[in-house]
Amino acid sequence: MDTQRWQRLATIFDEVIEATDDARAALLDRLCAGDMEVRREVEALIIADAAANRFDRDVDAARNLVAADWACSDDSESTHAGERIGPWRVLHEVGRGGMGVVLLAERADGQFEKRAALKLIKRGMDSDAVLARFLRERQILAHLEHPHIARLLDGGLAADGRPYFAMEHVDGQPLLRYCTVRSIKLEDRISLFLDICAAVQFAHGRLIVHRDLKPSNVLVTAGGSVKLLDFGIAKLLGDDTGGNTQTGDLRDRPLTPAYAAPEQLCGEPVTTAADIYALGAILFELLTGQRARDLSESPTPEDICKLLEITSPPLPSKCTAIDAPVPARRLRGDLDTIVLTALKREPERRYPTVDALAADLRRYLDGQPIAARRDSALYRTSKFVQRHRLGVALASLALLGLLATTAFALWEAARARTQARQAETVTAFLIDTFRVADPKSAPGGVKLSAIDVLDAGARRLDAQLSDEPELGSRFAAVLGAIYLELGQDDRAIALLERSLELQHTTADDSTKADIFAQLARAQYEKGDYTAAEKNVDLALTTHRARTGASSAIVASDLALQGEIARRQGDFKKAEPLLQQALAMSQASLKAPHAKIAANLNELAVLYSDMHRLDEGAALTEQALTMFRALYGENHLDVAENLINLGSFRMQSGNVAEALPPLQQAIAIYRRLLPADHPLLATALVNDARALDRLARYREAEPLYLQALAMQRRVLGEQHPDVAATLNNLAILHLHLDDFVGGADYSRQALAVWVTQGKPEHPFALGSKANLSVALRESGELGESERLIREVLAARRQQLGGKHFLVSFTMDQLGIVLRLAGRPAEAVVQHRLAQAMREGVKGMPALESAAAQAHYALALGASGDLTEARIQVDNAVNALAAIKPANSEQLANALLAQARIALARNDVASACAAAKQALELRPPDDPKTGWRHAEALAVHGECLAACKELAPAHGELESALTDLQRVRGADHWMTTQVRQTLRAMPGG
Amino acid sequence: MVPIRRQCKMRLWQRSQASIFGHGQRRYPANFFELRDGWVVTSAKSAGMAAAPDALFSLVYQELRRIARSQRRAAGSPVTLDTTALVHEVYLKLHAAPQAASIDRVHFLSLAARAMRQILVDHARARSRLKRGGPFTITGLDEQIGVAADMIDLVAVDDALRRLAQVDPRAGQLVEWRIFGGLEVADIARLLNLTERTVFRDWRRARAFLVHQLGLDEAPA
Repeated sequence: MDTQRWQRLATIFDEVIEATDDARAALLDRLCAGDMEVRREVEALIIADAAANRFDRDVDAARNLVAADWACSDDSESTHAGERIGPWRVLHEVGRGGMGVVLLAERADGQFEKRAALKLIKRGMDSDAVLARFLRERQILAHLEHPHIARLLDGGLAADGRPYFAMEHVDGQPLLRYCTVRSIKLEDRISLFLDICAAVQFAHGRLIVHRDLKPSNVLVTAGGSVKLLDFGIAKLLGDDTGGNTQTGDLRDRPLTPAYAAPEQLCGEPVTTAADIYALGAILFELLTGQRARDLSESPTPEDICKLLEITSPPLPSKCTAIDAPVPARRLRGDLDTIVLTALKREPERRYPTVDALAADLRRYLDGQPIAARRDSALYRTSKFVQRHRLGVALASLALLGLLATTAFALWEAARARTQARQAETVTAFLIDTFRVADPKSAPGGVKLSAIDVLDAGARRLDAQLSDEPELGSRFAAVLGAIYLELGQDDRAIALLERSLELQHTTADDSTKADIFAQLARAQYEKGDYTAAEKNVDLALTTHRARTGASSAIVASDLALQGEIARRQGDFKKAEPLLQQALAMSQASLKAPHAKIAANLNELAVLYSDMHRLDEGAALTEQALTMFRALYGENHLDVAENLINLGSFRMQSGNVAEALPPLQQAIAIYRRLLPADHPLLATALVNDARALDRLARYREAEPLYLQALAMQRRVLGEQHPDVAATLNNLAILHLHLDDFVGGADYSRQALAVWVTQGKPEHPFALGSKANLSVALRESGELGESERLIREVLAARRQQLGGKHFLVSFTMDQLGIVLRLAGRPAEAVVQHRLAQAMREGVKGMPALESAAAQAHYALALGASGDLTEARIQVDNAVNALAAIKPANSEQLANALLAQARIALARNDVASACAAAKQALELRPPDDPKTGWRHAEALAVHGECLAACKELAPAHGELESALTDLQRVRGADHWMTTQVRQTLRAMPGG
Repeated sequence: MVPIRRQCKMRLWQRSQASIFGHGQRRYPANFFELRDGWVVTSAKSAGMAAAPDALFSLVYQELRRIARSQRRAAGSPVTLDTTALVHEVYLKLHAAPQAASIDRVHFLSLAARAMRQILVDHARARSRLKRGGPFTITGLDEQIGVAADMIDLVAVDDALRRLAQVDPRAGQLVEWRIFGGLEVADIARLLNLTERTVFRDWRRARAFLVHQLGLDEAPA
């Protein structure tokens, strides 16, 4: 209908409807003038008018009902179409349930043609702990890129503070429905399942456990491609603090009883094995059309647990219904075995990895015998082969070598004393050490790790060698040393202490001193410095008494004392000890010697801590040369010195050159060390730090998190290394502009130091300073100022009034003060800091110049434009002179220069500086980059000052758009540009 | 004692404190913006621009939600919600807001009615989608919520109203106020400065159109 026609109808209708019923027909005849089409339409309207009252009533009722429903759904899910959540615009709701609401959304900025399924988590699941974990882990999940995993595109907090996740939107059918509707045959079902396995294995390789795998979490697109949803989400939301989960709060946790592993349901620790169980449950249902377990009859978690204890899932081949997708005879045998192996009650009896499960399915498809079955047959027939297999299955070749060497050394020692009986005992013990752990408990006998082997040996120590305390003591010491090499400090300490106990009866002072020294080393590694110090002092006294004041062994004790002092931050005490140790080694040993190299390197580490980079680098190169001469390329010590070389290069600013030695070292570690080794963790941290410095943040964070997980597992929550990694993560998040995450990690790092009783450790102060920066950026200026003043006071006390760190801490205080609107006080801090650096050699030039730019800004803010100009010009010149150029710093200083020039109405200079800054900041990544926009905004302002209003407007608009997208509409930078734009004539 | 070689361990460079300024320096010289607050004035202040309408719309939208939520909290779980009162309350609450300074009561109420329409239609649409089962399933959230049967479908009303507005914008506006804003004919007449009779005539005609379009005329009276 067009407007004209409607108007004609309207005129007729208006007249007719007000006439009485009787008069209407005649009126219609006259007004429609024979146009039957019009007449019919008007008549229809008149009939419709008869239903008007009813319509009035119903439409009001409908409106109020829908409104009430809308208001009721409000508390938990108040999100509706059109609403903005982060960068997303909601299209409509697609589902809701226990965890929250799911919305279909699209990018609000239109920048990317992306649709997403947004999960908005309901109130009650947004505790501080959940939020903190969420912020930490969303990055790693966002980088879980696999063709069969629906990506986590984004996540954050909605305006009301609830967390949301944006998942890649997948248009597909749930797995089971897809298979049923299309009558997918067995081989294709397995092939789909193998795709699922590949995705899960991929995630496990990145230390991400799904925890809520189920058929409805697997979508299959029309093209037959599998996509897994919600990876890692369960962990983000659930309480994953380990074994302390109450079974009572099962309902609040995102898991699905029919597919959840028994350990999940019973509140036991959850690992990748839980996903393997869920995969088994999915496979069961995929093959039989039935669920592996019916838990619907068990109302309480306790009942479910009990049921899981007393029953096991039936054979899939016994469960097929008449309309089963696969005939029972095809399931009998191999597929039964595979499914039930995945569904074992005990995690350690399941397939050890998803790959192992997938490999068996592939063997089944290829018609080969499967592993889950084959090995148990082997076990029955050939113990020899099995023992051989066990040897092969040992996780670490390095360990094998170590044990072989040890065995040989022990055997030699024993033979030298012509104690054949002891030699036999030694041999038997070592052989038994390898004949460990009942392989029946693990499918394929492949679950044994090096640690398992050692543990079995350690357990048998007392039982098998009770008649031979001396030998027992030696074995305990040997095993302790091996554990220490493997980074298992607690076990090392326990065994070394046991070794000392056994020594008491047959005391030999020198042997005891050796063990004391070893124990001190283990305690030092663990971070128990008080105990370490006590034991190394004991060892040193004995060693001095036996070998004189200067010997290699005394040097080694002195070095350990130095190391302990260094780690506690007492560099003044550490330096002479380590220098003495080095000189003593060089005097008493012939170069090249491992001990000399070790001492070289310990001193280098100290110099690194003390920021004496040139001395440290030189010592490291010496050590590296010596180690290479001794061992060739593929050796742990070579790796460690490579790392140190990378470290020194990094500290002196050659970050790109630091990466190759670092990665070389990691490669050596991965070849030589078990997966959880602290050294590997450290190397990962180092690599991550280099990447962080190169602004490759996305690559850095997963490395940090891997390292952190390893360190926490092996070293415990409160180890200094854990604090260091937390601090590095804090810095990374600050670099990513994630100040909440930055503050969170800084607090965690600080908490470790406080627990250690060292709230004023130099590293603790570093974390505190970082916390201050994070809070400052979040606008919590009061707290930020309080913290940085504490840091400043402590550093003044520790480092004296002349140290560059003290001066830079004062600059930090100056920045806080300036931001708090106290520019005069800020100027005082900056001025004092600058005076402290004046005339002192070796001040970091980059930092000094950057600080000067801040000084200029503070001066400007306090109204001293003349001095501000002098300072900012100096800062710019200094930065321009630094090689290699730091374009970021220079651009920052130039922008400050432009602002100050603008304030002085020196439009030409302002334009020149802004133009230069803009050139240093070319258009960056449209997703994350804001620096170009920032420079563009300043440049635009300069143009406006030149009265070039049209281009100025264009640049500011463009900057505003970018900043809104990247930094958010409410970020101070965005707000400032918006205000500038508004304030412009014609804005 | 069997000699055990124990190499130095160098946790070199897990140290971090040297980086604190490292962070600060990267960002903070860029922090020039805060300078402007105190001392930089680049150009003369222009006259206060009218707030962007979509900003106000969003404000109204949020406020509607807030009030609805608080009403709900006060009343427990209402069977119905008086949308008319809601719209008026939003007006009372927001007409003095800076964003609303430039627009009059008529504009404001039409804005509120439009917001209400969008909210309710979207909500109804979401609900009917749930009822039918959506095009895709998302895990863990398959719980469904009932929708009262035999109710006028606001989504259909919305469609019909869109068709009406194409041929008769004024009628479209009026119906939006009446149906979604819950305004009475008398209110609308006052707002538009028209006689009640004129408004009623428009409304009656538009309503007939809607009833016919929605197929509600065949229902027994």
